[in-house]
Parts: sequence; C-alpha cells; structure tokens
Amino acid sequence: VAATLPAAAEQVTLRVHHFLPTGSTAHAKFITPWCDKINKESAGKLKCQIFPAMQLGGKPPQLIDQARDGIADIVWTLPGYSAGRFPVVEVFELPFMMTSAEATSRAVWDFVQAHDQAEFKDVRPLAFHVHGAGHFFTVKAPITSMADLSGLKLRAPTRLTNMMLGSLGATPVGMPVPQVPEALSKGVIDGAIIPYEVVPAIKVHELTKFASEGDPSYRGLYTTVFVFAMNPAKYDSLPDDLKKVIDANSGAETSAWIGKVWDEADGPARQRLVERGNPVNVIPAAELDKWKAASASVTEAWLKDVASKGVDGPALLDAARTLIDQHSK
Amino acid sequence: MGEALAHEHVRPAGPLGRALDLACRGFALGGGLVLSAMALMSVASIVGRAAFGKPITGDFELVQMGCAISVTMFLPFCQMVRGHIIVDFFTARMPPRVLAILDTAASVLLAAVAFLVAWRLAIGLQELRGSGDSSMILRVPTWYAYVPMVPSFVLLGLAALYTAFVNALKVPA
Amino acid sequence: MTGIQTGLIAFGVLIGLLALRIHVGVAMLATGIGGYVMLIGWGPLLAYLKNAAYGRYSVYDLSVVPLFLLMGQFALRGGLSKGLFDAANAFIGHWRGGIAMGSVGACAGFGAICGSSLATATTMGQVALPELRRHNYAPGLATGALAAGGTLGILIPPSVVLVIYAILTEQNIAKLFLAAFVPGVLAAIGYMLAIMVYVRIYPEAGPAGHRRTWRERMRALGSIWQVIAIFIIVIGGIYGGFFTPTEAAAIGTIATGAVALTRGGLRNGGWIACVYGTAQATGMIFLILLGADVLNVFLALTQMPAELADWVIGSGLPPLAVLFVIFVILLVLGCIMDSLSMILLMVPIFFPIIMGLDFFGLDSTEKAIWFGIMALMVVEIGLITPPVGMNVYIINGLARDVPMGVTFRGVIPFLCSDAVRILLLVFFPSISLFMVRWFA
Ligand code: NA
Ligand code: NA
Repeated sequence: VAATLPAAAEQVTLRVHHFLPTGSTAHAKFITPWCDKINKESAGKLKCQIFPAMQLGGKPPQLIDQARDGIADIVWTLPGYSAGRFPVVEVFELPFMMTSAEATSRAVWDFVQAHDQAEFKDVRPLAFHVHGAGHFFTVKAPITSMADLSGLKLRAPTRLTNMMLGSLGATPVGMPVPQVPEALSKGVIDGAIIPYEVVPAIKVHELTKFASEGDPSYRGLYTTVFVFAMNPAKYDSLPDDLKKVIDANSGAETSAWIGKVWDEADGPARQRLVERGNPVNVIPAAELDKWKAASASVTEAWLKDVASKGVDGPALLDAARTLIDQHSK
Repeated sequence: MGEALAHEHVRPAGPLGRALDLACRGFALGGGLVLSAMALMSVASIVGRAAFGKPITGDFELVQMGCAISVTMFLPFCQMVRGHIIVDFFTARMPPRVLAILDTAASVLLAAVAFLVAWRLAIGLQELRGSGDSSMILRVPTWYAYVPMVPSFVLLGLAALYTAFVNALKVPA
Repeated sequence: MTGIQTGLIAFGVLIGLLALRIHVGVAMLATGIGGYVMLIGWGPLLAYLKNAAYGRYSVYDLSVVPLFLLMGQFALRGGLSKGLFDAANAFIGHWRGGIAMGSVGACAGFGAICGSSLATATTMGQVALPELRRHNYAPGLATGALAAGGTLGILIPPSVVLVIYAILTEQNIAKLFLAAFVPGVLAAIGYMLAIMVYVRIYPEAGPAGHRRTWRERMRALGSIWQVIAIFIIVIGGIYGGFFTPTEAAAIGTIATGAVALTRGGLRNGGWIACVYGTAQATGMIFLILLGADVLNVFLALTQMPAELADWVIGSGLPPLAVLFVIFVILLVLGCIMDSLSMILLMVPIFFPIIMGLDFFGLDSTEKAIWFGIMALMVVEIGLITPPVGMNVYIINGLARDVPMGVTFRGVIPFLCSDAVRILLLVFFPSISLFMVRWFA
C-alpha cells in the first residue's frame, strides 16, 4: 500500500472553511464529495482538511477575506453576507429571477466571467451557485394572494428580500436563522421565507402548517448566491498537474452540478411536508403577475444602487435574465 | 486569581497615571452609554413588534455592532483596576520582589498583545473601508465599529505599560 | 507529530505561562498565536488578527453577557438583596439554622435576576453576614453558607457561564436556561438541607431567630415583588419564547435600572458606579474570550479535539467512566482556575468526546444540554474549593476576623450537597431535561 501512496512532499493539503455543521447539505452533499473527487483525480496528491462551523475562527461574513488572505485555502460562503461589496452579483437575488438552481447556477458562473470579474478579483472563484427558490411557510393561513401578506410578520433572509416583503405588504423581520424555530413556535413571527432544503434543518415543517409556492411556470420568488472560492496564491503554488485537477473541478459544469445538488435536496424536504399533511398551496401565475409589478420597486432600488457605482444596471439585468433563459432550455 | 473588586482600587498618583486613569474611565463610560442605548433600542424594538407589528429595522445588526464596541471600550478600565484574571496559585509563596518582576513582565506582554491587536485592527479598518463591507439590512459600514475599537486596544496597551511601570517600581524594595 | 501530541505540548506551555502570572486571556492568546504561526505561518495569523476581535465580540447572543452584568449591578445598587434577605428570614428565620437557610434562599432569589456568582456573593455577603454574626452563628457556618450560596448566582438562570457554553456548543440559550432551572432550585434546597443536618449535629452553630407574625411576613413579601416581577418578565419571557435571551436581558436591565432609579440607587454617581462594575467584569470575560478564540482555532488546526474524541470512542471505555474522568479534570482545574476560563478552555475539547458517546440513549441536543448543566455545576464547585476559591475570598474579605481555613472547612457540608446533586443529575438526566421536553 505504501508504494502506491505519493511521497508526503508532493502532497498538498487544502484547508476548506465554511459556516455550516457537518450534517448540512453543503458539507455532506457538496464539499465532502468535491474533496473526495479531487483527491481521487489527483491520485491522492490533493487532500482537504474540511473545517465546518467556522472552526478556523471569525464570523461567516469574514470568510471571503479569509480566502483572500490565505487563512483558509478554500471557502464556501454567501457574497450577500458582505452587503455592499458584491452589489452586481446581487442581480440574481432580485425577485422573480431564478428558474432551477442548476440552470441559474450555471448562469451565475457565466455572468461573473463575462461581466463581473472585478467584484471577485481578490479570490479565485471555483464555482458559483444558488439554492432552489424560496417559498412561504406560515403558521396560521396559507398565502394565496397579496392580501394574505398584509401585516404578516415574516422572517426575511437578506436586504433585498426584506425590501421585497415590504413592497408586498408584509412586515419583514430580520433575524439570524438559529432564532427562527423559537420565534415561529412562540408567534414572534407568523412565518418565514426559505428554500425547501433548509426546512428540515430548522424544523420548519413541524412549526408551520402551510407551505405556499409559486406556480411552477413562474420564476422563483427569490434565491441567494453562494461562492466557492480559493486563495489565488495557493492555486498559483500548485504544480501544473494539480492545477489541472482543480480546473477540471471548477467552472460552469461544477457550478451547475452544485445547483443540481440543491435542486435535489429540495425534493425530499418537500416530501416531508406532504407526509406531515401540511398542504402545499400554489400561488397562481395571474396573482404572481401582480406581485411582480408590486415588487418592481426592489429592482429599481437595485438599479439605482449599482448606477451610483457607475455600473450599467439595465444591461446587466438583461444579461442575467438572458443567461438564465439560455440555460433553462 | 488576583481579582480586585473595583471599589478596592486606589486611584493612581502622578499626572501620567491620573491622565490614563481618566481616559480609561472615559472609555468605560462610553461603553456604558453604548450598552445602555443598545438595551433601550432592544426594548423599543420589542414594544414596536408586539404592539404595532413594526420592529426596529436591523435591530439585530445594531446589537451586534453595539456589543463589539461596548465590550472593547471596557477593556482598558479593567486593566487599570487590575481586573484581568491571573492564576496566583503557583506563586503564592514567592517573595514580593519575585512577584513584582513577574507582574512587570506579564503587564509588558499584555501591552505587546494589545498593541499587536490594535495595529492589525487598524489595518482591518482600512481594508473594510476600502471594500465597502457593510451590514446586511441597514448597510451600516462595518468599519464604523472598528473606529472606537482601535483606540480602545491602544489604551489597553498604555494601561498595561503603566501597570508594568508601577510593578517595576516595587522590584528594588 | 499527532494532533494530540501538539495539543498536549500547547497545554504544557499554557500552564507554564499561567504559573508565571501571565493574565489568563494573554496566556491563551500567546499560546494560540505561537501554535498558529508554527502550523501555518505569520501571514495568515496577521491576517486573522485583523478581524478576530470584531468577529469574536460582535455576536448577537454574546451581548447578553454585558447586559446581565449591568442588570446585576443595578440590582446591587437598587438594594434588592436586603429585601430578599428580610423576606426569607421572616418565614424561616425562627428555625434552628434558619437565618443561614434564609441567606441561601435570598442568594437563590438574587441569582434569579443576576448572572454572576461574584456579584451574588458580594451583595448577599454584605447584607447577611452582619445579621448572622449578630445572632451568634458559628463563623464557619455563616461564611460557608454565603460562599456556597453565592454560587447560586450562576447555577440559577440567568447565567453567564451557560451563555458561553451555549455559544461554544451552538446550543439554544433559552433551552439551557430552562434546563438549569430545576437543578438550580435543587442546589438551593440541597444547601438548606446541608445546613439543617449541620445544626442537628452542632446545635449551637445556628441559633434560632425570633418568630415573625404573618402580618410582618406579608409586609416583607411585599418588598420583593419587584424581584419577582423582573424574574417573571425575564425568565418567563425567555421560557415562553416571547423574546430572545438578548431581548430579555435588555428588558431586565431596563426594568432593574428603573427599580434602582426609583429607590435612589442611581443617585450620587450610582449609574457611573454600575458602569464601572460592569466594565470590570465584562472586560475580564472578553479578554479571556479573545484569547480562547485564538487558542481554539489553533487546537482546531492541530485536529486534536477530533483525534482525542476518536481515540476515546475507539478505546471502548464505558461512557460514564469517561464522564467521571472529565469531571475529575474539571474539579482539579477548578482548584486553581476560574469557571469561565475552564469552560472556554475545556469545552471545545471535551464536548466532541461527549457527543460521540452514548448516554442513556439521549439524542444529541438533549445530551448537549444535560452535559452543559453538569459541567456548569462541576466548574462552579471550583468557586468554593481550596486553595483558590473566589467566593470564599470574597466572603472572607467581608468577615476579616474569620480565618480563611475556617471558611474553607465551613464549606464542606455544601460540597457534600454538591456531590449528591451531581450524582443525581448524572443518573437521572430527566431532572435537567423534563422542563425542556415539556415546553418543546
Ligand atoms: Na443567575
Ligand atoms: Na477553587
């Protein structure tokens, strides 16, 4: 056995840092398999040390700078955590943009390559992806129309979703994810918007009675962009054969694969709701047309925001939509 | 643990000591104001949420920033009243002269660490200012919180140097 | 070198620095920095330090620590301790040993609105010691009861140590407070029983006070309604889930501040004194927090906690034996270290071990809560054990004529009560868990 192992000198260990526990989809279904794959394809020369749950210190918004500074070699994080730093890629988080996570993830990769390299110049992005569309999970009544949202206290995950819920008449409550179960069970909030994948982890299927998703013909209510990025110096220090392994496991295909992992994680989570007898209500497309009009103010706010930074917002919005459409066919 | 209670603390003599003591107390009171404001803001947000369905937007973020600012501003005062914990079990029977030497060294090390952290925080401040990093909901620039933190660590270092000096004076005795 | 070997060397270095009277937080920082640089170099370390302090201190749940400490200061200045002591004595002061038992009850009441043992021991000591001496209580019983009673400040929620444990292990603070409630009350009852047994053996140690009329009792009760109201708002609010622990701490702080204000406790620089007291206690905790953060990142880099957990699980030792070994280590460390430093140092190492073992078929959340409550009790014992027992020092500082040895001997009955309680908690996890299950 010893003979087939590469000498220690040739072996490169990559410190991979992220913010979720080991049981999460990210750790178990994406990062660990990705590490196994590069280990195998490099004949054992590339090895990951995965540090889940912020074991290397700091808070999730600091992960991106940890990759820049070489505190970690690879990180998985949300650009949205560092609000104001990645305003352009936020275009994918606008209301009613995404289709499937797989297609949208591929679109994000292509979009950044073509239009948005400046925002990520400090790191070497290996992949971008999004989660499946976010839906409504409510305690008292299902959401079928905008009127149902009026005055409802809903937990929103990001700045744009806060604005969106406000534009639809709800009262957005910004709170960290770990507080959500307690807040739901005691009526501090009336519901939350999250993707299906997150439902079992924070027991939302047990704490709410109704799920409401948009008509499947319609684009998703919202999504969140994630980035899987490497320290550039670490990449440059690799010998060519190992660079090739990393290259083969990054880019559009890898991004699409990660998106697919998230798409696939939605199914069983939705199934658990159905098995519990929580009705999954569908918001009709005609109703969503009204929502789209009402939430246009969010898109306008984004356009204004990037315009102040000298970015051609309308063109980028168009490019993002076109890419999503292309990859959704 | 050589943990003195604040009321037992004797105010330092000499203009330098008094000036540092005053600065440390000023920072502690500043931290106290931030902490009190944070408590009032949280209560206002709960009342708003419960009574009118309108919590204060971004209350969680403000608490996070306020916490970092207030606890950092407390650090120098804690050193000025010798509040930072040491383990004095192993040296319980040592002569006072040895203790004075050890305590001088310990204070110098604390000062070194405080200045190191202050230096790195100052670099962090510049970087965050450049990158435009801000909070998620209210978009408050993150570097704002670093502005009181850098001088707090500098003052912690100065307070530690002062205590080192006071301890060093006890060595010849 | 394996992770375990590296970790052990680091511990040796840390103990060496502590022995040289380096501040605990600085010793952890220095060890952590040294190890970090050895493993991955100066570049990443200097980069890490740019944001480490902000990252460590800007944690939502952590903000309850300074808030609960400020609340304790307000309670101290508001004179709430005197009302509690009078009320407890009005009911049981006429029993043999009753004033000591009343002191323990008052400590429990004060602990219900104060997150720190130090503040509880200080304030109750000031109120109760003169009374105990006036009634000719044996010096050892008087000081022992107050030193032990002071630990109730942290055993009964709210509790700063539990907040830190919750953050280190990513557990729900509200659930931990809920779980600590019954064990905390058991601790108070256990201390009272210890006094009862003690005065049965040494009747002259705790003479009975005079019996009060029911009218006097009602009047005494009337004066503690604020404490009860604050406790119900704070703990009831957390248990009921009406607000988060941070919000509860904010409400409690404002409410206690209002009580102190109406009672004149914030006059003549009272608010400033409260801030100074908070600044000292908070500064002490947060310097150690920063040090522990760097040290724990270094330990994570060595992979020692994971290796150690694998080794213990692979060794096939009975889980309860592992648990008792951990308790013994905490007890020994508790002789010389303070509880918070111990929690910060040892929980990242012991927690993965406990989580890998099976105890009575508990699920992971229940196991984490159960272990947290017991770890809290074990580290708090360190406050009253020789040679370094913070509460003993504080009470002795207030009773200067009582030799330190007398107080340490006076603590022995309470240590016996602690041992019995911890054994009960080990073998009957539902004592800690039934409230959590009931509310869930
Ligand atoms: Na308490
Ligand atoms: Na001790």
